[in-house]
Amino acid sequence: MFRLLPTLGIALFLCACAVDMPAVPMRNFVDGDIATVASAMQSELENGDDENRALVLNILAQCEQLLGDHEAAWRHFGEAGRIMGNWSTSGSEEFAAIVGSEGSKTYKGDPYERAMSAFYLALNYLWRGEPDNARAVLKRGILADAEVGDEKYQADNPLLFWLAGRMSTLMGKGEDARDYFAEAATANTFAMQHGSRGDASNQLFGRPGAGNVVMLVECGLGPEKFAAGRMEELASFRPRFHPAQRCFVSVDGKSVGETAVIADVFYQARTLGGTEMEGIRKGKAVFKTGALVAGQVMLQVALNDRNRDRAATTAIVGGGLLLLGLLTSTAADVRHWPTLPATVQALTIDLAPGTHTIELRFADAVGTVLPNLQQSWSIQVPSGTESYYLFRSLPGLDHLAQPPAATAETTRIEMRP
Amino acid sequence: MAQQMARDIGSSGLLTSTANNQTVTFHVVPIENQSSDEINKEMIPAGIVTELLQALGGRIAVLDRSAGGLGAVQQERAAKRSGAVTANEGKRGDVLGSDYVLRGVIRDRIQQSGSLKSAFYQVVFSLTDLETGRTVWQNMYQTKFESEKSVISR
Repeated sequence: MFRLLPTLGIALFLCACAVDMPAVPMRNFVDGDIATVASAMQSELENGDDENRALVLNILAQCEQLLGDHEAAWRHFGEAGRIMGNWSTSGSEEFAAIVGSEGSKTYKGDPYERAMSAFYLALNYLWRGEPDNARAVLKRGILADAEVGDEKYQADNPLLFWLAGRMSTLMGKGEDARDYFAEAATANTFAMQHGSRGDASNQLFGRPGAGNVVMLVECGLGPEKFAAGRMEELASFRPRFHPAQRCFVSVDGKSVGETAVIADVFYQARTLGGTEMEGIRKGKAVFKTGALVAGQVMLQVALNDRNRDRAATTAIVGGGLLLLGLLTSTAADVRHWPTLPATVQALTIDLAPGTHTIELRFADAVGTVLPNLQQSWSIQVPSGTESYYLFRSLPGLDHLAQPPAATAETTRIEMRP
Repeated sequence: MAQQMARDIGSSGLLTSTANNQTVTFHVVPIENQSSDEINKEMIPAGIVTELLQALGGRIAVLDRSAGGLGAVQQERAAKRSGAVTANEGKRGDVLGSDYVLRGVIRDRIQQSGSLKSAFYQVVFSLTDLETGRTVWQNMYQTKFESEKSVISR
């Protein structure tokens, strides 16, 4: 009986302690000052709340990627992915999840955040020359997109399916590639029918395996999560304004077209299986009512129990439940990944091996070019394989780092006597 | 698994049966991952090579065909031949050709029922004769994991 008292004490403590969103210098991020953001996240890792570790790692890894430190980005996205995987947890975490405030739980990301984390990690595996591991990560991201709690939803993230198809091709698995490309087209159609941005005649789905150079371009800023509802119990999403919505690409001075939307991150955030969410957190409000009822039932049982020891234990547990019910926080957890883009777009082209100059002109919704976001990159297209590049609509990135190396070539033995 | 693999290959006699008392050579490629979990592709092969070397010692020669290994060999040979660095004449020789290649592939089947998930993994390793293309040895290892979904599914 007395062992329950410390447990109840811990529960009361957890109810009161919420973990705040880490301080992310968004102004610096939008201005292209990635080093400052990386430094802030490094400091958060060392001094901040452990419950936010996965969130901080994701933001830090994203910065490392933009700064050209792909080894660190791969490690940190990998660690974040392991924390965000929802198939293993400790008993204390489970308990905190039940009785603590939403914000006291370890951040594991919403499905769209897990999907984006998987996307970045997959790219990093690809850049290390491991398309099979990249595909494995994408499969995990697809599952994360479709699986929430005990519910299964229609998987509607075309980007992950499409990339899994490309990876399957690199692995020599043509049949798998065809299946993934078909799923990508289905996911895109479904998503657009339910409000996602995109283009029905998107060539990425019409000719999914085309092009030896794949340019993935992130435009704008991803959604912001905020507390809504009468008791601020619902975590809801709203878009963050950023003018960059389109991207026009030139290679060696010649226009090759505009990128096409392959993932609408705001759509992914606010929907589950195509259905718009009212908010996340309704379950917690239901629990509060349940705890009060359970506590009252147990106290009544204790009064009627002729076994004095058992009655005493039942009364303490019942009383504890009532207290927990009254104290359980209903405040929504609004922690989220603020540096995600609004959309991921793509363009595939065929380029001869050798050096090429890529120019990106980002534009607003009506096509007005934003001159401060223009970028010019020199890339080395290898022979005999594909290369994948990731760009972002932030100023000055082309002065920071070269695009990452293409996929690893097959090793050839050229020995001289 | 690496120990069992090494024992199986060792006891097959393939790596020690040669003509003219020549040492059998082989190299190992990173395992191919067809599962839904990313893996360290070099950990298992490294374990197998370690076990084989400990079991069979000087009777086999394991070749480093990794990009980094080959690059280092090419660079050092070129430096020695050009006189840029000293060369141990007693060690001069040809780069060894590989008699066999050891390959592996990992596959999985994931099943989920409510909050319970079971993951079945199958790892298949095969030894291919690089002169004839024949698969001279193959074995399969299977394992299963079960887990329960966390209540935290934010």
